[in-house]
Amino acid sequence: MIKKADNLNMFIAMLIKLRQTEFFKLVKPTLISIFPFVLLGSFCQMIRLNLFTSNGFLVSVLGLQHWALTNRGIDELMLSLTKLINATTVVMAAFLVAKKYTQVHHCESRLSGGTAALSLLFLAAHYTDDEFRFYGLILTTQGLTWAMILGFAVGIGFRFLGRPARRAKLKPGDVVEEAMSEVLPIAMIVIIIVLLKIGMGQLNFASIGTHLTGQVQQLIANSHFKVIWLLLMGVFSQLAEFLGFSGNLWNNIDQSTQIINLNAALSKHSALHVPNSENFHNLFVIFGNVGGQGMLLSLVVLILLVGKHKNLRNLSRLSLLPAFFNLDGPIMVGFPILYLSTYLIPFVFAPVVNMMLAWIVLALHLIPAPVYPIPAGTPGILMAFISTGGDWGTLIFSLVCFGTSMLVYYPFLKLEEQLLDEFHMGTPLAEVNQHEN
Amino acid sequence: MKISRKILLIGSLSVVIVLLAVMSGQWAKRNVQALETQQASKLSPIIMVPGSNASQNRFNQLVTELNQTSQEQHSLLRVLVHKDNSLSYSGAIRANDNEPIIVIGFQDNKDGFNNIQHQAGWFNHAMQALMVRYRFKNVKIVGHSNGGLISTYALEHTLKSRDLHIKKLMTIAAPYNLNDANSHGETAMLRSLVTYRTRIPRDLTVYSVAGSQNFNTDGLVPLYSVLAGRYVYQGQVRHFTELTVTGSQSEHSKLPQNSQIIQLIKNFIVDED
Repeated sequence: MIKKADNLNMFIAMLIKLRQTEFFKLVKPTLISIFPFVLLGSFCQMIRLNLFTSNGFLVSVLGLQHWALTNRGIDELMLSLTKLINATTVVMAAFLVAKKYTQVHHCESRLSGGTAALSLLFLAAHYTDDEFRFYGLILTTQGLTWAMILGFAVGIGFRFLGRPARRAKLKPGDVVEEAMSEVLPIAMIVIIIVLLKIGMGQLNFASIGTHLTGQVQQLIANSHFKVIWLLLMGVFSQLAEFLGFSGNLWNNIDQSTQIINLNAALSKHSALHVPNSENFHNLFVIFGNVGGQGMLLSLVVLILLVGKHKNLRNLSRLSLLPAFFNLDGPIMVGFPILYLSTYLIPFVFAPVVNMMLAWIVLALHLIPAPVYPIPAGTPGILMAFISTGGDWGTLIFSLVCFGTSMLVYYPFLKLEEQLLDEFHMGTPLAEVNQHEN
Repeated sequence: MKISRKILLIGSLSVVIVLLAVMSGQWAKRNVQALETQQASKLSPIIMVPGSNASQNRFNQLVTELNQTSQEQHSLLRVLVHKDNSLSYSGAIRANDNEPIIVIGFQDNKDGFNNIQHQAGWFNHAMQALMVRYRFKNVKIVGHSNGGLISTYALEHTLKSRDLHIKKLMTIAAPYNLNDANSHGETAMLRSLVTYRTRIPRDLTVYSVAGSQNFNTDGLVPLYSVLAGRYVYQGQVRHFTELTVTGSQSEHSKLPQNSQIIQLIKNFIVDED
């Protein structure tokens, strides 16, 4: 019993230590600054997917296809707005972290933020055929962690290359001298970024991904313990998402078995017995996400039900609607899940617990396999229901998964509240509000 | 106050979920049904088009003989297209028959290029109606005499549907150069058919069957007129095969009952399995 308490204390101590690191201190004000933008981006995306996309959820379900709004032009307009809001958010994050770093270290520079923004855009862009193309991943909220790390690194560059000693000697009128003192760090950083980009160009990420996927497919096909591999893939996907890589690395790995399943279900008029009910799509993509990515909706609902902190509750209220439609941006940035936090463990394991439950009920043929296609932007809680052709038992099972995830998140919510109460070491938005109370 | 707020949250969430579930459940059921029909559209009829002065009953004997000599029993539906595009049906497609024969006849079945163009329009109209009614996505077409010309003209001009795949076409004694026996002279119709040949689907397999009583005619249509089909199809479609049937019952109007031709339909047009 004592040992258990010790372990818990060690865990708390570790979390506190992490939150005292310089990086986290810089991240805090940055995340607060960008939160409204992230919220705006999520609402735009939600509205687009549900009202303007011709195969979107509400459009399909309410039969709005012939409505004037589901128009390709407007859809593309909204998509471009959403993507630009996300891109601007990420560029701003890099800018703000770099700026703040130079402020904290008294080597304040007019251009540290601008250089961080330039570096990020340069890494994300690709100029070809007389036009710019951007690697989507870097400029989405998924790339936020990396953008902030980049901003941090640029800040360090300015601190050590900016010759603050020389600048300190400058007289108030030496405008040209002052401006020129920034040339060296900017040039050096640009050179480093160019080298980094050349290095990145050497790695063919797409072929590595294809190769990895092929290997994994083979491994699973030959394995006697298929479900173990599937669970490990779930863990890996969640960790990747948490670290800011694309978590849906393997979401299309089952395309061919999905078609076999679909055809079998269509010709038998039932999805109860399909050849490959035990696959990554069924277990992870559907049941691992019945509360959105990482089952975050269950955390939101949990906080609204039993959360003691007004600020966490306010955050949850704002995030509820986007989270219902699987848009986790506000939670990822606001709580923040995105950055190392108390919620790493439940974020990874709540979906994995669901995968195990789903494996059992599918193996026992208690529910049909989720084989039918679903509209874009279908809320997680309804995904399984719709992709089983509207099986009510499956909806009930989805709710059971949802409740289980709330139980998985509960101890970690309590831990976070303890950190807030006893150590004032909460997550950015929550803690700032704490002081105001 | 606090408790009631929680109840409100749970209540409103449940109402939203149930409401959306009821609506999306209906959508899901419709979607599954649509997918099932789509998959079930293994239905692949053989469409038969009679020639001029022949009715929708033209192929009755052919179908009877086809069914007598094969295990698969093809049901027979006859459609008459009136001048005003209205359709009258006789016969029926049996419920589990994946390869019924549908004969499309025309009220106005007169000869001549002008009327062939009209008939191709009526043919297309009937096809569209049949596709909606029976939900098939692919067909085989057999056209006798001018029926072969109507099919060809329809392929080039009227029969336009992304949802319809024409697997095979057999024209029997189709006078591609009308009754012109001269292998060098071109009628306006042949010129038109050749001009627009590039509109014919490239993945089509075509058989052109000629009948021959002597060395140059089936008694009505000159052999050269039938063979002129090569100028339309050869090099444009995936496979183009010309066959000449001789012997008893190789007279033009007897060709649909010719046992050789029935055998050819069985071998080349009827789906295997």
